[in-house]
Amino acid sequence: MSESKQPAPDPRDPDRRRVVARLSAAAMVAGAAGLGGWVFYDGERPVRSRRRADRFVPDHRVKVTPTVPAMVIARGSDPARNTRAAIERMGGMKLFIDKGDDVLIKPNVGWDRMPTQAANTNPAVVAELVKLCLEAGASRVVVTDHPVNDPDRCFARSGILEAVQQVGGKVAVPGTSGFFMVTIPGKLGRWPVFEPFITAKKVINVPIVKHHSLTRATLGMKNWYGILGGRRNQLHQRIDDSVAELAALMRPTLTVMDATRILMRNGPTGGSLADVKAGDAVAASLDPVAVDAWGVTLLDADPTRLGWLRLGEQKRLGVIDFRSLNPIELKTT
Amino acid sequence: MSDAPKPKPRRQKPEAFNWRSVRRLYQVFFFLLFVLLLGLASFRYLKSFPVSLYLEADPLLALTSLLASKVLFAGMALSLIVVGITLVFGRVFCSWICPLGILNHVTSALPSVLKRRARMLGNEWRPIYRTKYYILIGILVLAAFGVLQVGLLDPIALTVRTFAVTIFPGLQLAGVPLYAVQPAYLGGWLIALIFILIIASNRFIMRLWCRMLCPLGALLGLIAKFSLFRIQKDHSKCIACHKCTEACHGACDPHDKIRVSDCVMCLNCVYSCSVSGIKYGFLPPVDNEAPAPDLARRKTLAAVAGGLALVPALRTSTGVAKGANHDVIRPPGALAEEDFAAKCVKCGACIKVCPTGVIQPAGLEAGFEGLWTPILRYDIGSCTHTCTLCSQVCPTGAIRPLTPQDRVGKPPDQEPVKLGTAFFDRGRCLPWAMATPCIVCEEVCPTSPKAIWVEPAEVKKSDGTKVAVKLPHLDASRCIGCGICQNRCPVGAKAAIRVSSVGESRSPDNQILIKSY
Amino acid sequence: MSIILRVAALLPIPVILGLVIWAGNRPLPPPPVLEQGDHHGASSASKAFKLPDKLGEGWAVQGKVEQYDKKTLFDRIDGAAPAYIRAGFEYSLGAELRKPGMKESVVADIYAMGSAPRALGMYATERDLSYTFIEVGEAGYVASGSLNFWQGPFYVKLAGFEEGEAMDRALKEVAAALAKALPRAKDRGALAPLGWLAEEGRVAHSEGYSYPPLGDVDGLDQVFFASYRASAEGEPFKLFVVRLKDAAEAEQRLGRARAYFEKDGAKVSESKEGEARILEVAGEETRTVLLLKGAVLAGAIDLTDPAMVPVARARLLPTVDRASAGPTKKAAAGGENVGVPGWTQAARGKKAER
Repeated sequence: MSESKQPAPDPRDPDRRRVVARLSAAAMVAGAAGLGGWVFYDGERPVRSRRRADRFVPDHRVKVTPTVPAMVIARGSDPARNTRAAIERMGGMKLFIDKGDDVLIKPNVGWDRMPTQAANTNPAVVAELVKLCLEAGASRVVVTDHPVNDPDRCFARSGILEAVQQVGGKVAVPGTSGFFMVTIPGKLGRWPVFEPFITAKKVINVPIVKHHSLTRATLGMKNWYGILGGRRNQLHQRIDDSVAELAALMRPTLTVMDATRILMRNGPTGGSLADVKAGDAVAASLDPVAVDAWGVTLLDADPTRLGWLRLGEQKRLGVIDFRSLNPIELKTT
Repeated sequence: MSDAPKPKPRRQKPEAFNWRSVRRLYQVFFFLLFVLLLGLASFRYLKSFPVSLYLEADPLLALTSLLASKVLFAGMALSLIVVGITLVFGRVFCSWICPLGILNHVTSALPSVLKRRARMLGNEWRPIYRTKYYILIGILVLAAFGVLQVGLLDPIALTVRTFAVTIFPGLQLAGVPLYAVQPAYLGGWLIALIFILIIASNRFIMRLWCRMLCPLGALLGLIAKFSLFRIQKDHSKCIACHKCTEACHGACDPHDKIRVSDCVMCLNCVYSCSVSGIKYGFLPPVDNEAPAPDLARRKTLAAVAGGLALVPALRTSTGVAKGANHDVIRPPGALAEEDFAAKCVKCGACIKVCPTGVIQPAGLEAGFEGLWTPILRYDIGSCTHTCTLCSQVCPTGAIRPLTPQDRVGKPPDQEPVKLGTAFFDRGRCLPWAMATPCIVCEEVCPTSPKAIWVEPAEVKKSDGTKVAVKLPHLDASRCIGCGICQNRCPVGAKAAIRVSSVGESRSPDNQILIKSY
Repeated sequence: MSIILRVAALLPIPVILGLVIWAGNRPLPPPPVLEQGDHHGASSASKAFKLPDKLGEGWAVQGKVEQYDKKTLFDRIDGAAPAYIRAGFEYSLGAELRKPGMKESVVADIYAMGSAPRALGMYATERDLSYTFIEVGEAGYVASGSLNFWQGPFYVKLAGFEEGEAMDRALKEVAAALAKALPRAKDRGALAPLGWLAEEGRVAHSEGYSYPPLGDVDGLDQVFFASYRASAEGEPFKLFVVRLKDAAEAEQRLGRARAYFEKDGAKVSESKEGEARILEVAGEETRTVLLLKGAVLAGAIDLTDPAMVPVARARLLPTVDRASAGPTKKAAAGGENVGVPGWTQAARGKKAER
């Protein structure tokens, strides 16, 4: 029993202000925890969805008068001159490109090959198209493709990177990002597409004529594989449908077919100069099916027997009988 | 002023049923409840019992999984109750509820061989006890970047994992019939060893884990800083006998200014004080306490930097983002690997509940991040076609809840859950390579129509005679990757049909057959 | 005193135990449905509805309630049976209802069509816009001594024994009593497309659901439609909308419709407005407009005046926008990021059947 002392102010009595301070501190911690719990609570989904909005690809075609020829084939030894002559015979790039347009040019830059091996589009043809678009008043011309081999090597060794930059065009080399989901009408469903193909106002398809073991030929319609990311190696399980559906998705302003050098065998990669034949021609066309059919004939094959061409005609993308379009042939040299 | 010596204050004899008795009853209750709930996690007894209750009530698991995945999933909201309790009463969780804390407490409370003074010195606070805060900071930084490694050190996850992988199977070995079939788990020896070390360390320094390593204790300690009720000491009565320090579990210096964040509410000091000068009450004066937790700034920055450096170190290694091991097959309902890594706390609840024992704790197959996460080993078991037990017990939703209907799907609109695809190894298969009839794989394939179809053929034996066999083929569009074919294939050493993760529903990229994204 | 406090402090123990035991006895998820049921969704009314003997207001069932299935329906309604069966008929109940003091009965036929849209569809087939519409069930009318209405998956036809105001009153009573007894639709969400159609210019009571193709155009089956007038004297035309499973199916339907028109030699012109594809068909007598946006197909048929085409287009664009406005909450809750359908934590234990 302690003896009674004069009671000192008992330090254990909590004084009012301290109590309020402590209580409010505890209340604030409780409030913060409760608020955090309430904001982030989800009874159904364990993770927040990171899905970006799906995008849509517009139709890039322009309306032209019936006097504009549907197909022009220019022959000569200079691919740049052929390209310019074909476009001018159609009526000039001004028919297709308005002042200030954002133009996308899609050559075939799929493979790590040099121009003489005819696995990629001729750089002179691509560069001439860039020049023509800039002359017609385009604000920006972007050249791009999503290659199969390493992108940097493909753009460099094909000669396209240098050729395009020299004439004032821009090259977009795809990486892992920049792909957005697009619903492709038909059996393919949703696939990731490289963004420039979604945002461009005008698109010019510039394929090269090549042999392909599965589709017999890879030309303009199959060139659109280069817009896709993701599991492209599975598209071969539905090869005809995928080629036709992609061609129906991407309706280009113009198709310019590079037949300067033709890869006759061992496509689409080629490699040996012995597989390459000189074609010395460039064709420009409003009809993607017809110009592909013409390209097939350059490979000594029958276009009416190819499933993807027939599907393209069924989808009303064009006609296989390109002769019915009365293509204009001209010589430049 | 009297020169007479102060009369020695007598220690009031504590009543028989005091607050320590309350604590002991709670310890018995919560430990038994923990063991019971985990024991109920099986096909026979699960029903709808909340077997992951402790995991869901764990504020550290809730906070880190929220940081990593930006979602506080379903039952994890229960952790707010524990936060509330800590805000009012202090770290009662650590001594009254946490199963590891209770085991540590009991082991620490066993009679010591050390002398009084040694015991007292052993219970003084040491700066190294701040380590748990640095560990907590490192874990939080990693979680903020989507790397969830809290499961390595969280006490509840650790204890559930240890019970699931070693203790319950060990009891089965000793004769307690907890399972229908004796289970075995990969790498269980390491998990057991770690647990033994933690418990044994209590004999050297009381509650060493709780004082120095436990990140949940660190988090609760930070919250306890604001608690309304806490230990308070009447300095005027103190005779510096240090009986409180001898008995203190938390090493929180009750004889001095008490470190509130380290007090684990064992209440030993209250009942060991010779002058009954310590009690537990509402809002003691501020000068009663040491400012807590008083972290060294350089070490704190080092903890943050360490966490930051680990993120790219882990994510540029193959495993999660790219180059995933195709032998890593995850349980049905598992999220895509990057999300899975942000949600799985390696608790092992799914391992415990799996009826065939096919779910195993991974080693390094899924990268370091995947250590002790669940993978399916089809050489040990197979994944039952309509079973969804693992998805029902996962606390964070790393295995998202499935109904049996979700698992089997509803053709043609709803696809079943696929874990992977099986591939035949024709060089080992009995009908293909050894002219011996078999087709066990086709027999046990659970899908209808079956993913394995057979084609009759006549093959030659070594003696030239012909034998009729049925050659099995796989239809990849029907295979759900359940692994029963691999598990029942009679070709030992390496089954003649083996499942790879490719084709799994949870991954948009890991596919073989063409399909829309 | 403090002993009481300490004992009270132990109270959470039995409470927690009780909660754990309660939690363990919550209902379990149902086993999977393994039979390939009706692809359009076997309605939960596949167990026949039991008509109570007494219906209220004194009306009661005379004799037995007859039940008919697809095979025996012919015995009841002869050549009308195939139309019902094509429209999704599952079973029907036939009963005679009488009130004390009446010599004759009201004959009731209750057709279970499988889903609310199908019941609406059958109802709309037999309806004429000149009938007198009344408020019973979801919609109904009286005409020439009979009363037809629909509610939920049920299409109810009541036949009186004479014509006149008194009979109409009696029929309305019976109808009200039946509407109370019959279950309401569980799948009202399936009727949402009716809300997407424009309100301006809509002819009252003209909503419907076409299970045979609308206007016989291939691809326009199972769409929701309503009649419209551009002006008070104008010829009525129909606007329709449907949201399909995905864009692929919508494309396919549009393709079939287009093929149907082109086979007849009609001129089809295509244009785009924003993300919507628009087809305008100029036939011999009427024009048609078809819109496709994502998985939504909409359009206008029976446009007799070319000037109505832009009016129809203007009415359809907001319809298509409304229809495309995001998936339903249930669809969003599951499968977005994962590929595995979701299952709400709330559903676990709360609902015994989904």
